[in-house]
Amino acid sequence: MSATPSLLTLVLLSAAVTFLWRGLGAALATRIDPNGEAARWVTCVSYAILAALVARMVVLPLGATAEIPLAIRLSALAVGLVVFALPGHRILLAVAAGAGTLYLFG
Amino acid sequence: MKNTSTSAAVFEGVRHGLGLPTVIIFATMAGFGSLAVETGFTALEAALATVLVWAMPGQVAMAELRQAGTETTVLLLAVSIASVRFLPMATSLMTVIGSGCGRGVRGWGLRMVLAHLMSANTWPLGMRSAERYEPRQRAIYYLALCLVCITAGCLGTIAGYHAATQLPERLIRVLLFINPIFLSIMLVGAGERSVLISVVLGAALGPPMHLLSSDYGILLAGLGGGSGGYVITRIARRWRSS
Repeated sequence: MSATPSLLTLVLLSAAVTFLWRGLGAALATRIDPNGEAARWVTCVSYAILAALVARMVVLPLGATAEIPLAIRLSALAVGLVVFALPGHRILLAVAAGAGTLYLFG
Repeated sequence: MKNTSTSAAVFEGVRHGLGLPTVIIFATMAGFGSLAVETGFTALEAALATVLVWAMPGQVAMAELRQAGTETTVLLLAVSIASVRFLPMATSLMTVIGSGCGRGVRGWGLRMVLAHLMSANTWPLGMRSAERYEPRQRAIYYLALCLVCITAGCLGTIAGYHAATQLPERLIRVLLFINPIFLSIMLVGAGERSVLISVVLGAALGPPMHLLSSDYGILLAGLGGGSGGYVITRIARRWRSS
């Protein structure tokens, strides 16, 4: 590709190379036993990838979040998790507590 | 007794979508919208990118590399690598909700639509739908949830395109950090032991692996952490049974 494509073409090409993985993953699922060991392993890997991504977002963030000190980011996350651990497991309350901590001290 | 009512599944999907996921996706995509202004996208092109690509890291890579004048093949490779994580995520999600999509062309069509609509924010909810629904209702619940979210993402992109520069910096930073807080809570609440061990190992490996390789670090951390969680649980299970 020598010429620079238009932005619209770029969006369509990006959409195609992204969907490739989604479609392939969905197609693979029909080949494995939902209750088998392969499915169990893929589930573990998926959760671990998300966890790795979240840890990266907290410890090594990009953009505006990077201006908040690491200690404050970790504290805000800890407050959110502790509030979630309280009886009732209120997700909205937990996220609000974490975000509030960040707003006050960040 | 698991719920077999289709309308209840639609209703709960919309209700779950309209809560935190909408707020988070709106805020995240507003961030992309403001980035798209700098890259020279029109508002329509930016909204199309959100609806068609529907993956924040890939969209950011697309906009930033275009702005930097990167060659198109290199750019597309970077965008694609940013989304490899969708492969195992789609496979595991489809083992949970796929059988509810039905057979034949329509069944495959629905599978592909759901695979496209899937995102990190909704994936844990889809995985957990098995606790409450039969397969058919799981697929319907997830479809409703995701349609609400992609609508919020589209509106967020347009809002961010027009207004993000006017929001105070301090508020933008908080909005961007809501996403990791929410995802952490979803991951910690995931339940099964093998999954929890995988989450802890993946989180521990993520940052150092990302420093080693910003392209493949997260994937390798996930492969290592997930395999570790799987193997440890298997060995523990065998020990107990012998």
